[in-house]
Amino acid sequence: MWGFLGRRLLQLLPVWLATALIVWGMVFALPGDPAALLAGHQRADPQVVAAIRIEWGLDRPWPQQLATYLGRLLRFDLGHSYVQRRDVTEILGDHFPPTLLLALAAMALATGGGLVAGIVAAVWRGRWPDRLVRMAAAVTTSAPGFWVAIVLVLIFASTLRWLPGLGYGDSGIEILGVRMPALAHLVLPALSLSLFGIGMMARLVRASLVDALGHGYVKAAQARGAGPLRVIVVHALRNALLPLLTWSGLHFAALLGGAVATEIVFSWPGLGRAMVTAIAQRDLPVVEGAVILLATVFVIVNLLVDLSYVLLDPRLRRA
Amino acid sequence: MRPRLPRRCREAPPHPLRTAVAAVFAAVAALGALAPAACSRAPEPPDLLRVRLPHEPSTLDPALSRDVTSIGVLTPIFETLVKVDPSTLELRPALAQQWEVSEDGLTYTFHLREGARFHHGREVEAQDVVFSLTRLLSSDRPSPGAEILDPVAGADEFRNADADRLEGLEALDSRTVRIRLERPYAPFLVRLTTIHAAVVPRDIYGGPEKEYVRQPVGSGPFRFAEWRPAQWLRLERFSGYAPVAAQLAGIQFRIIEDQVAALEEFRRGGLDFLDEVPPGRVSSTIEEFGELYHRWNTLTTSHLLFNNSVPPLAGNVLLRRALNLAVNRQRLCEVLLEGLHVPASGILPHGMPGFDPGRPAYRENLEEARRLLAEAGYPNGDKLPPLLLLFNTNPRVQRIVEQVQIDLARIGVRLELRSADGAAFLEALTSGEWGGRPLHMVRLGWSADYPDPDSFLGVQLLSRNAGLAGNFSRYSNPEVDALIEKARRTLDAEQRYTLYREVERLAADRDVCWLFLYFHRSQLLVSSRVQGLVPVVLGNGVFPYEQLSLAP
Repeated sequence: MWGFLGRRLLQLLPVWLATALIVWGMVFALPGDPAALLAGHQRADPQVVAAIRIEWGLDRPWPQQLATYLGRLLRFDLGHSYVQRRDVTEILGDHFPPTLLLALAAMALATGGGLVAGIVAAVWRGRWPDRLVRMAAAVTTSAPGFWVAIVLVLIFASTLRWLPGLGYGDSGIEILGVRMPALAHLVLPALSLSLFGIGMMARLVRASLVDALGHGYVKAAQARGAGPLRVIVVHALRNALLPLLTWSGLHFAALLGGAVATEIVFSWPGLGRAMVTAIAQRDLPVVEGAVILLATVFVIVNLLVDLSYVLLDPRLRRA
Repeated sequence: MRPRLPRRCREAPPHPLRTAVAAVFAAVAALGALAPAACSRAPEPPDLLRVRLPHEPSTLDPALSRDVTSIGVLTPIFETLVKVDPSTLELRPALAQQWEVSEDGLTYTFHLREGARFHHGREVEAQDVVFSLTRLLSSDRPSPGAEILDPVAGADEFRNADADRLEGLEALDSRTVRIRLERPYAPFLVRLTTIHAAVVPRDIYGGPEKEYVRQPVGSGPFRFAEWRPAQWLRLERFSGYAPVAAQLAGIQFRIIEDQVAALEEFRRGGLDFLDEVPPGRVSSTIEEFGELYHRWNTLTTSHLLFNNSVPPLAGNVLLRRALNLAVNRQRLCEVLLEGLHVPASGILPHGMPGFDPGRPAYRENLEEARRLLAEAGYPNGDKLPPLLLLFNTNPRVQRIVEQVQIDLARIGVRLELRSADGAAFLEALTSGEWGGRPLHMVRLGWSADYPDPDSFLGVQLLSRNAGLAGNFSRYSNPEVDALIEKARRTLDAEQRYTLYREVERLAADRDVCWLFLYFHRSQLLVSSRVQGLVPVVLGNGVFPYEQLSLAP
């Protein structure tokens, strides 16, 4: 178990290095001079541009720029923002927790909603609850995120006025130095981000469960006198859960990196919005730092998924 | 198929999986139960003015600010020696209570206002003014406002580190500042009104701690309170502001990128100022909000700059004139822009001092356009290569340039459209090239940095400003250069304006330097509780918040 963990952690290194190189290459190849953008928007004093290029080392040849960049990374230094003039780690520290919270909330909704809907659909297979779930799943998985977000705002914020339409709110609570949003502000962004997941999850749960319910061990459990809930949750669902786990892990990682549209519509102070701003401003260190952070999270989530296999499936534990 | 399941008959040991599933169900149920309880919104202090920002300010250091958003946020925090009234565009005293200009226009003496204090309590002194202006040239990152000091005596020596202080800038005593210029420069005073020339406390901005980058300290009517990145910025009334403190308790700038979401937030009552309406929703917004919707002329223009340095546009004034006659600006403004902007009549926008209201707006004349095109050597556009036009990525701008493309096709002129944003756009604009090919036209919006014709004509037409310094069309005419230099030395306002009108006549009417499109108007939705609203012409984000109050 520990050896497995250690090996997986070691595998992080080449992934990191590759990510760092790819990101740097892409950012380097972007058209446009960050110094000119910094110096004066549409027009700039050429002397000012030259001074900024020297300050940020943009005047040096690319191998030297790359070496400096990698050297910093090895010291876990993500660098300093051109535009905001503060450390990239500090900026990521501001914007990653809101994204993580939003992704967690969306994941909880997707898991909860998807499980319930999927179980209902599988148990009443072919009847109207099943048809309803499948239809709803088709709608939620095919509607684009930003559109769902706007529709939710129009219904729940503008018309019914039950919930705030945008913003992070202020709960006044701080956990580990991270300001928590007001719960009411979290509901609509989390819901709009989770709808796709609910639909996908419901489909997967239904398919796996229908398959599992047909197996002999379910009949055997029923024959032994296990209750209906117990048969579904313990015997059938547990075996149906493994394929879901892979999808959930990937989906969660995707939520962390791909919530840009939702974050923009709801003015959520997350990483996606910070990255879009940074790309437009050619704030290269922030873009690089954010991508490296997301790649790391992606790898870690995958690692956790692998570990949970071991916990859930005794056969893998023995192997 | 409904599985028929018999009742269970024995107790099973708890299993981690079951616990996990139960926990997920419990969490979902708890979230569902808590949500309605938390629905009451966190109450905000009632008398904060809530203003929408379309994006995060790029800096809080006035010397480094360059975008409208930063300028709008910083202006209430800082003061300059003199300021511009955003409605009338007249010069007004600010930190300087009064000032004198010598006969020869070379010496400016400023007397600081009695009782002016910085937000950390200290009185504003003449030495702070000297420090702040010098800082534009000597700060660790040079300021985009450094050129304000170009005409000051000794600026070049100081810039090249041949002198340890800026010779023309001195504090005579703690309340008096004297600035000596090398040559008369008429727009000098008005350029001192830009946020770059804001006076900052030298004890804070001169220290090694760069706290001021996140925590700006000025002497304006509002003090900086807090910035939550990607959420909001809050300013509070500075009660020590003399002679009269602002009435608003504070301003909350809320960062909301999405236009539709921002409009919904205004409708819900979460915003007092909203600066934009989503494209296509202008008329429905006016209908819905009526008197809450305001529209003012601003000092901003949109034109298609010709590249005056490469053929076929260079050296062919007939071709340039033909293109100008082929565009239907009325339709552009009324249909595509929903009546927001108005057809241009030249380079200087409506409302700019020196603007000539007698100039007629450009109109389309297809017959004349075809005739000129033939005379220019391209009958029906034959043998004219497609012209490469670059625009900044923006859906509204894209519709405009596509309409121009359609308009020009009517006389046989083909346009190839390319778009870029941010740094890529700027680079192409500066180099005049796109993918190794010369650009023929660039769509450019231009806002006055300061309300003076020089901020358009001087910056954009002087041949030595070609490229990055502002003359992107690479227009070059020694006669125009001489007139601009003469205007800069002329202190009498009316005489200057006459000279600038002559510049405009030569560049726009005789040389047809660009394809002129339209003058901008700004729009603002203002909630009904805001009182003391005045029209704002200076379209650079500056708003006289200190004059506003909120109805109880």
